[in-house]
Amino acid sequence: MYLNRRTFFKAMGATAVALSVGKVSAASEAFSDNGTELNGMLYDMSRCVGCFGCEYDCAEAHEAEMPDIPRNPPPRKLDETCRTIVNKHETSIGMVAFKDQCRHCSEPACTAACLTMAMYKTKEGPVIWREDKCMGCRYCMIACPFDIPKFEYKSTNPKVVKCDMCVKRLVEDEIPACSYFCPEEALTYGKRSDLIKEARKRIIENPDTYIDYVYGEHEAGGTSWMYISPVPFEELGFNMKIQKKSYPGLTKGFISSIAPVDLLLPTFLLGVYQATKSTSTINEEDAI
Amino acid sequence: MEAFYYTNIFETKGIEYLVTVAFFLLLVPFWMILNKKSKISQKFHEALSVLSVKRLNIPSGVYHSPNHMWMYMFKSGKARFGLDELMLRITGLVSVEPIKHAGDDVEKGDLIAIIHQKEKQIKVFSPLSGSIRKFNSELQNDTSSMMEDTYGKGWMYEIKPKSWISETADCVIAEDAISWTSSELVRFKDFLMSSLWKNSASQMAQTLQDGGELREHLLTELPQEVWADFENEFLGRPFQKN
Amino acid sequence: MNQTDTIQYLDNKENKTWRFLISELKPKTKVFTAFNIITLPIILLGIALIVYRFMHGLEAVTNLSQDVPWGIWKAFNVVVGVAMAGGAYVLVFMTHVLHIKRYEPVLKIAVLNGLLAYVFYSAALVLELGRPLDIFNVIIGNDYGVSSILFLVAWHFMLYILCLFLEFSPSIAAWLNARKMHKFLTGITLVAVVFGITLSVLHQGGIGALFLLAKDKIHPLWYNNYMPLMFVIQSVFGGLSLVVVVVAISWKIFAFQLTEKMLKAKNDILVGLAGICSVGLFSYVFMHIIIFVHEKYFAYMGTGWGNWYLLEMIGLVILPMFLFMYSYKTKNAAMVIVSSVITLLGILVNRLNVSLIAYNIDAPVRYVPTWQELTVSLAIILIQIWVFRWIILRMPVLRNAPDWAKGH
Repeated sequence: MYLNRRTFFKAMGATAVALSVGKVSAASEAFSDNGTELNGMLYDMSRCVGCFGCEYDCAEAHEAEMPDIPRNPPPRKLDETCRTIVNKHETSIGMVAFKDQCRHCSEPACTAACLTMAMYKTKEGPVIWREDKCMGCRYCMIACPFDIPKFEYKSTNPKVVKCDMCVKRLVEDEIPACSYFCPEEALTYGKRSDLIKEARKRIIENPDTYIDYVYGEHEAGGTSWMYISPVPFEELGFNMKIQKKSYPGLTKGFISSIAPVDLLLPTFLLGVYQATKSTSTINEEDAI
Repeated sequence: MEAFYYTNIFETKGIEYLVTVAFFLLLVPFWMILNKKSKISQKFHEALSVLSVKRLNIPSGVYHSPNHMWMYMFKSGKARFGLDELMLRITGLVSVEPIKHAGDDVEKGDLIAIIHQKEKQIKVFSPLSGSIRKFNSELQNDTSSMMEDTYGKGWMYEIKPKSWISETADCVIAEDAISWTSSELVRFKDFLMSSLWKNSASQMAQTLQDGGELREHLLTELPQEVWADFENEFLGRPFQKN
Repeated sequence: MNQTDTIQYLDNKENKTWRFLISELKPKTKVFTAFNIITLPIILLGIALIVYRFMHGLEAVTNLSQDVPWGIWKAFNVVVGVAMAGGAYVLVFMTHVLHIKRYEPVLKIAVLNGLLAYVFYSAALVLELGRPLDIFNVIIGNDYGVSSILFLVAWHFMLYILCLFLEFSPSIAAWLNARKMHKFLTGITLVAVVFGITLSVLHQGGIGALFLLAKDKIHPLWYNNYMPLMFVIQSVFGGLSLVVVVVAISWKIFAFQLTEKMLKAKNDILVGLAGICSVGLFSYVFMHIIIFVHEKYFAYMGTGWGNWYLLEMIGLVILPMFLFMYSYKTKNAAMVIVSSVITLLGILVNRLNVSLIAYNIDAPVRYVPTWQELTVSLAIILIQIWVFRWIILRMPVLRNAPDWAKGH
């Protein structure tokens, strides 16, 4: 379909993957790990030409139904049949394409929301959905600030559909399909810290090309999928009101008070019970 | 926040939940141990049989002193006295240790005997003044006659009283004795409740408050502290002398 | 009242347990009442739709979309319903912990109501799950998502149903003439009470905390950091309001089971509950004023959403507060019932706003429940009422317990 260009970036990506390969889909590891760095993806919208190649490659890599993209497609939204979507926007400098998919947040709201840990943030970076645990409650959909997870309402055994950064390929030492097959090298896979340096480098070296902002550096506490753009992000429909702190942090107050309430309220109740008991007299007359 | 490594702000949550569950499981036994009924009230809660005035046989002609001794004057002028039935029904079987012996002169209110039950004891004070003629020697080996025939074979001392009439002035006889015993029973219940509260047997006190009736020989099952209270508060020193 | 008492108790001596249970299945009152005739078709249709839902997936019966993932089965039956079932823990607190004898006549019915409510709302929740069989993952530990508030809510729901069941079980034991069981169950009531109240407070707050994550997606007028606390307060006066309504209706329909004394006390009880509700509403109103100031809601006044907010606050919160105060002072039981209904409506509107109406207001297609969803929702409530009626006619809930059961 498209020429596969094995470029310098592929080598760099492969090295990164080789270092990070391991227990991508392992059992839950709840403790912070300062050894494995998070991996991410940098999406450079000045390079993207809107060829929709990544949409086809993504579907092929996931053995999903091929998208049906007409010649001049109208704006489309993510739905349960696709994991990523590319939309071309008419902006002040011309056509800019915007690829939307899960942002693989560093502290994902969906992971904090999931009560069976079906949504799971791997140490290496990708946030994945594990089918064997999910009960289809869709709380992750309520939680996600980017409204990414999509649900197969039509099915009797529904799945939650979203980008998983091609974990199956990562395990096999390959980089995600979209960046592997991108003809313009708009998608760069690597360590998140390296990607931010690279993004900043591009912005500094080409101040006329880029807006001086890396979207995803701090949004929602930092996402692994980051964007740099030649036009202001608002023109492309980015939500600039996303908070710069992590979303699970919003629930921290309540969750921290669970244990104190669970411990102190029974004691308090027992105390009140004892205190009011001795003054009560059992009076048969009052029994109704 | 440097978002380059995996972090989990809720990483200790699992352990916290386990601690909470452990708290719940331990709270129940903890509470139960705290409120464990003492042995006293446990025994008390087993079937209550009733000690009431109706079951006491209070013969006529017998004087009752405020410290629960009965006295009877024979035609010959000698008097006998002993512990009255209410007292014995409350204390249960006791042994008697005589302090004064035949030939001793006593005044009303002198210590003349100590009754024992295991390690518990109560001092017995003389209700009359006079000279002791005899101590009922049968009681030294076997005090069951005190229980079975309180006012007959259960006498404790035989005495030649000095001033019978004046000293029986504060005693009761006949119908008065019955109503007095009744009120003493009530007074005993009140005493018992306060003594039990004091000695942390609140459960039993609660049952009393709800109208539980007293069991026979109740003091047998109660410890020394309650006996001491019984001696000091319930019996008191009715014959206040020098 | 001419109707004879319908309660019969199992006679252990002859050991006719099965025959007794089967005879209890027969209807005890008139079968062809208006209520039965109207509700039975709805129930049957609801059950048929439930079967259809499992056969064809959620899309076939609901209007759930990618933008609005929770529909009325969750938002109404669960989120709203839970507030209304709060009467159980409040009344248990008042009668068992504070030893207030005045409300004892309505205790059992409130506990029964709470028990049935939670069981049926859990059923509604399971209905709206995409993969309901996987719900056991939360129990068996595949995996325990301890960072999730929904995990907390799910577990507390389950344990709380157990607590409510234990609190209600003495009535079942009395019905089955199981004396030893009855004694044992009354003995552990205190445990069930203490844990029940704790669990209840936490999951009422938890339901509110569920929406904390959706900060950007709920209209600021309904999103605030105090949502958990507000939901707890709502559950207090909302639960009591539902108790008022339930007592008003069931004490009329089942009046033949009540003693003279109980009937006379009815007014007193309702008015007492009105007093408590008015205090609850009063503090709730002031909490909202604090939130109003803190979040600077002045900016929204005059907009469409602002007007909707004011309508809810003034018409459905402040108004019933005054009505409760008035009915408390004038001891007017009818007014208590009216204010209770308005309060329940207010809680319904508020919670639907948070979870549905003011959620993702920019979504291109607004969520409107399908008739199938509404039917199933209604059917669940009606089934609950049928079971409620079945139990009241057979177990000592309104009627006094048999003599051997007293005195524990």
